[in-house]
Amino acid sequence: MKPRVGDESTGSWTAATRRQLERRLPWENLLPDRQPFYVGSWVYVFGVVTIAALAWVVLSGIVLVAFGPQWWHLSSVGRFFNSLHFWSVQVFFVFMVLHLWGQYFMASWREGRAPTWMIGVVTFAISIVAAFTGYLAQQNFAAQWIAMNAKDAINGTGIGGFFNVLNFGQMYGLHVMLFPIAIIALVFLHIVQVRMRGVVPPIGHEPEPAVRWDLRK
Amino acid sequence: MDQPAGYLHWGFVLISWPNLLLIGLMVVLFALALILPFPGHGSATNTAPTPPSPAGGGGKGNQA
Repeated sequence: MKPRVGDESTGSWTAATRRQLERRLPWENLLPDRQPFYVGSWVYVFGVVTIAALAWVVLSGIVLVAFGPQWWHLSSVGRFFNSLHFWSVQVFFVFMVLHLWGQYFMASWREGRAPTWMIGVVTFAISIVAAFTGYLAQQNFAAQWIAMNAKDAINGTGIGGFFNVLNFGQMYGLHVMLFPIAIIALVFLHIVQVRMRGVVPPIGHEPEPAVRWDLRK
Repeated sequence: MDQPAGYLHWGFVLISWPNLLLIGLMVVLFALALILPFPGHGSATNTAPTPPSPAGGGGKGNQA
């Protein structure tokens, strides 16, 4: 979109932000209806499956939070949602790692896509900590066993003072609030980055420089 | 299911059989993703690559 002629707010930071967003994130990029031919490969499906699994993780987690530990341990429906949460996390991690392998061997950080790669790496790291706090938030003997064993290890890293695995309230709060918000926000940014620069082409199929799609300028 | 999992102990490698099985399945799945054709697409060898347009679509694009 072109800057609005005669826009009196030209000098303001909101107008500058609006113009920057309009230039870097046109709707044709955010919601494309066509993709390059090389997207027609199963390797490009791994990321989408990861997002689908994340949706199930969040939805089943919301139900678990609403009804509480007694419900998810003792009622049949609660156990079902507990299992749904657990197995969707397994699918989430399996396909996130497959997505990581695919992007690693395609060197997906090429041509200005380093932020996309780095956001993915950070998302992966936070997801591991989120899963760990999930094991600690189960409210069963396994959670206690894991917490007791993890306490020494976490203390050994030097962060045990403010990341106390024996503090259920802290672990539960991190698991149901802070980490999910961080992961969802990072995944959103990851997708926006992909939309900004386009899906990475396979090595050897890069477009010619004269017609290269480059929104960095 | 209430018993601890069995472990493979080979030199310095120590991994439970379920974890090893899962990693093996992931490698197989990754290989299949590279080999199996995607529905509705011919092989890439007979499809000339065309540069993506600024809108993110290529000349030989497919409907997303």
